[in-house]
Amino acid sequence: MYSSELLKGTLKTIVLNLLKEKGKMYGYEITQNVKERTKGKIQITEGALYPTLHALEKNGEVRTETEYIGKRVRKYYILTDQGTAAAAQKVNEFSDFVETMKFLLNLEPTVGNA
Amino acid sequence: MHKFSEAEIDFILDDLKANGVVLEDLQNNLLDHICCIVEEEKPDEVDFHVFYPTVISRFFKHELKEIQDETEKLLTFKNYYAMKRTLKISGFISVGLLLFASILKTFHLPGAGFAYILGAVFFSLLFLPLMIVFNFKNNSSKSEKWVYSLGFILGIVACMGVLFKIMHWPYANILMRGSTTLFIFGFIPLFLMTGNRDPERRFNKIMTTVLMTACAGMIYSLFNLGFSRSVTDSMDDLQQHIESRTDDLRESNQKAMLDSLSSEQLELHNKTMAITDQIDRIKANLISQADNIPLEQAKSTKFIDVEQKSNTQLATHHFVNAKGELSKTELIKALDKYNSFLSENFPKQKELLIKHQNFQMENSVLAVFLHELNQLQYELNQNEYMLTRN
Repeated sequence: MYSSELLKGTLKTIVLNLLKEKGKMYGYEITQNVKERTKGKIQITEGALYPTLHALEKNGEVRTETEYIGKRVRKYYILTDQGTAAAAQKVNEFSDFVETMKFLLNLEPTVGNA
Repeated sequence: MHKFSEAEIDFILDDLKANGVVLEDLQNNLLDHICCIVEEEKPDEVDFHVFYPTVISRFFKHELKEIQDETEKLLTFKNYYAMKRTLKISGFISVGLLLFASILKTFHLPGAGFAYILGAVFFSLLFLPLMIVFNFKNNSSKSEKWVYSLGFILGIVACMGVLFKIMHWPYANILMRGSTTLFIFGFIPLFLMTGNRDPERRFNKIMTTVLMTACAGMIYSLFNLGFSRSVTDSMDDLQQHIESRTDDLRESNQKAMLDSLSSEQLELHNKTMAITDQIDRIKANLISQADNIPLEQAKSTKFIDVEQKSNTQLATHHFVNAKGELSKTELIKALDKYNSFLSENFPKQKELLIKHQNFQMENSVLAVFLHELNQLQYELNQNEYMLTRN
């Protein structure tokens, strides 16, 4: 499992991109999906996920739909147009960052363009 | 899969609330998340209340409130930047408007007053209050938060004072002097005393204190700055001339009474005498109050001999806002009656009507009031002179 420092700057990118793919998801579903896809290498903590989701909602990058399960309220998160644009921009930025890191750490001799 | 009872749901919600999760949205999110974990991961043979502590411990490092704090921090992050941007924009706008107003004022162009008001309002009612909020959010030291806020509040009052002064509105001096005095003797010592532990900051603080004291001291010294010597000398000469010319006219008019005058002319003389005497009493009252001398002595005191000519409050208190015979209201009434008399009996002499609306008799120094009253006496006697010598 990767350290939380390494994951800290990428959480928004992961969440936005996942929502772009899946359409709508709730918190637990997001954590489980990431865990399964990465075979447990990336485990999003609840303490980091919910503050991020609330911030994304406040910024207008995601909107929510609620579903009542008895007394429970399940909140589904859905990308807005602004969020879709932000997801693309964040993925590009991260891709460029990875390229730069590869060069910096001598993993591959090229430099990103952004 | 575990089936939740209502009591278990309430138990989770109560636990979340008790541990500092107060945002309802966050409570709902966590409740659903916890339920999902329990449903997916709890073995059937294990009791919910035994399993629950192992689930909840995943949500934090030290305490559950961390998640609430982190959410609040992220939610206010955007406001913080919006506020910073507003602070910058309002600062630039107010400085721009004030500079623009200064240029207009310097070149005597129209619109200076409006630009000043707008600039001062932006600066003191938007920029400085935002600085207070910004200071409260940013400053880690509790004492510095309060002390700096006091400084900004005094800044707001001082700015309002300057605005009032420029616009010739009342209470400008109280606002300016009060805030500057409190700034020098209240804020600056407190500023110097708070947060002095860091030696580097201490040096900066001492330098800032020196600068603030010097600036505030210079501003303070400007408050008592009167007119320049040449202006006061020129004003004294002018008043001496008006007073002596009025005395000559009075004497001449009195002598003219011996000639055969019409009944209108006699009544005009009586009216002129009555108002001139009323003004004499008003002036004597003001001079007596200003220089703290007996009324009898004040009656014979000429403009040049009045000592407290730059007193700003006295005329407002003892004439403008006063009641009775020596008030502005009574003088205006007498002048209105005089004008009616002139209109009725000397209809061709409309240019001789007393235009008291043009007199500068609001929020000014005593010298201006005395000048206006002298001018009024001169005009009344000049009118009588002209209307009784044809």
